[in-house]
Amino acid sequence: MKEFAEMILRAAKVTYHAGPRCLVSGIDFTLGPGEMVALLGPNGAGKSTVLKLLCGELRPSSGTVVFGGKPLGQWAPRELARRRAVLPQQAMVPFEFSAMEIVMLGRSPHGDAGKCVGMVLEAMEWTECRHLAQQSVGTLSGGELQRVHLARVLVQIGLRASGSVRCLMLDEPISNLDLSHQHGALRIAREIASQGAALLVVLHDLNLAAQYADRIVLLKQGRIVAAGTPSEVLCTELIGEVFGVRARVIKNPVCGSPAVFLES
Amino acid sequence: MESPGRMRASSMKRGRGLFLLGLAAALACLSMVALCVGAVKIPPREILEALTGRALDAKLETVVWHLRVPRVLLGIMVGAALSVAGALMQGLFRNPLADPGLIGISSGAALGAVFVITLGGVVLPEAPLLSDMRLLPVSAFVGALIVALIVQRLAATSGYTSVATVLLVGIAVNSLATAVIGLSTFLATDTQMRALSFWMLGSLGAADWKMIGIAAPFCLGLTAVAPLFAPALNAFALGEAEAGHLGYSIERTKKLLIVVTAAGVGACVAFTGLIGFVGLVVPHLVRLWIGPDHRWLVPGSVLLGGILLTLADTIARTVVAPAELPIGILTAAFGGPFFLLLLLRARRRALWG
Repeated sequence: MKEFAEMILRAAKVTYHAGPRCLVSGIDFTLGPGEMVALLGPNGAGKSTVLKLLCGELRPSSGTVVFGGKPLGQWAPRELARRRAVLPQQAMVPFEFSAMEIVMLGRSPHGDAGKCVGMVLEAMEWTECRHLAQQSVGTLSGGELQRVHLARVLVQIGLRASGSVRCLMLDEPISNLDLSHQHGALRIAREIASQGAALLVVLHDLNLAAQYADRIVLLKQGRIVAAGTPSEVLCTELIGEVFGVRARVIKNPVCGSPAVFLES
Repeated sequence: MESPGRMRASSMKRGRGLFLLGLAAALACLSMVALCVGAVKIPPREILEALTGRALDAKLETVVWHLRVPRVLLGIMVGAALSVAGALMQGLFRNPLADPGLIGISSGAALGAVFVITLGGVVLPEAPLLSDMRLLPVSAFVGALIVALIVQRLAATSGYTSVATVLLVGIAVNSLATAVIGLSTFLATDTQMRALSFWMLGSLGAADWKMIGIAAPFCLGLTAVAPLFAPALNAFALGEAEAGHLGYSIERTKKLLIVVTAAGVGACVAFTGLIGFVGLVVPHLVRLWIGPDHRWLVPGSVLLGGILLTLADTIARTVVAPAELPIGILTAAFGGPFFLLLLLRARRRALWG
């Protein structure tokens, strides 16, 4: 049981059926404090579904998900929201909230939004959207909106290490960002992890995952094909098996992690 | 990059408290005006005397206490309830075009009410239960609730609301309601028919203290609990799943919202008929002034809804005096074009989906 408590998130034999179709099966997964795990796989591999199962948005057909030592279903929603923030792929905001109001919503589970203006502005500084604070979200570009939402989930779990469990689950948080902001967002994620928070990030870019994540989980057709450190997982054979491409892996001169290139 | 439109959010936020105070003051003044004007013009001083029981003229006191005061109170109550219902439905369906009338909730309430008014009288003329006024809001509530649940079931699948579906369900329910109401006018006596068609157009003319007493728990109940939903509705704007991740119980919130809205709208429709577009126009105007934050939007809608309906009713009973214009005609005449304007705006923002 001790091992259970030490892991922030632990999933065992999670399977999910939608009607007769089995979308996800046999997911065994753990996420520990201070760890940043990237979930990779081709389109339709079930990355978002796995994330939804692990965060409780979907209920597994079978299997269990335990968060902070307690099955997900036993958490009071508000208590869970204070410890864990989830950033789904974005839908549009129908009303003209200002960017800052959106970030402030991140504090609603704590009920202290009024007292957290400093934290809100700092988070917006981190994700480089401070200058957008008073703008209506309807006028923001996709990338700007994504940075605003990233700031929102950051303030939800707090910017600094606290006594309690902290966990961030991000579904393609950098899909609309430019090169510099992609790295910026992942550096923030890394920083949060180094404070002891647990991070699960769905990504598409193998090289960014290799550079920033501690572990990579490769998903294909709803199953985990491989999981391990970037250098264990990112090899020609596995990439070929999962993505159906011929890849060459070299060493990234910047950080020493594997770097993947495709044979033309 | 920095066009004035992009910076509007900040200017909207300033002076929210002042805005609400202004609305409250306007509502108070307008209520006074509404008490003064009518078939008999009564000066404000005499109104105050009548209200404080110091009136010299007993007839005048009767006019004020038993005709004008209930009517103004009913107008404020109904305006507030319909506007708040609109604000709640717009937040719930994540769409600024939702309105109890347009999405069929009012028609559902009308169905329930008509059922009691005429069919009850025709089929079971001697049934004492059906002739009881207290049954009206209950049956209207049931009708409104059924429609609201259907709309929610059909439109809000997988955390994503289709506006087109919401409005189409509204069309379907509205035509069904028209059919049933048509059938009951066919069965009704001449007097019933006249009463029904006036009721369909909406009127505060029947206001009395008994009606206020029965409608108040429903309307005031909706108005009183609506602010409790404000934080959840702010989170709903991000999406249903996101609201869940922010710690709100989505299913429970949705169900409660629909029940209280149906109760409020049901009571309004039961006693004042179909007064359309108030729930659409009022929250929109409030948002233009103080932004979309529901913690301010809800009280703003309460006040502005009271103001607009009192104003509309005052116009309705003075413009063709001594006759009265059904108030629903007025709100539709102003609300219809307003809705078209919103549709055009929404299309530009690609809200259809």
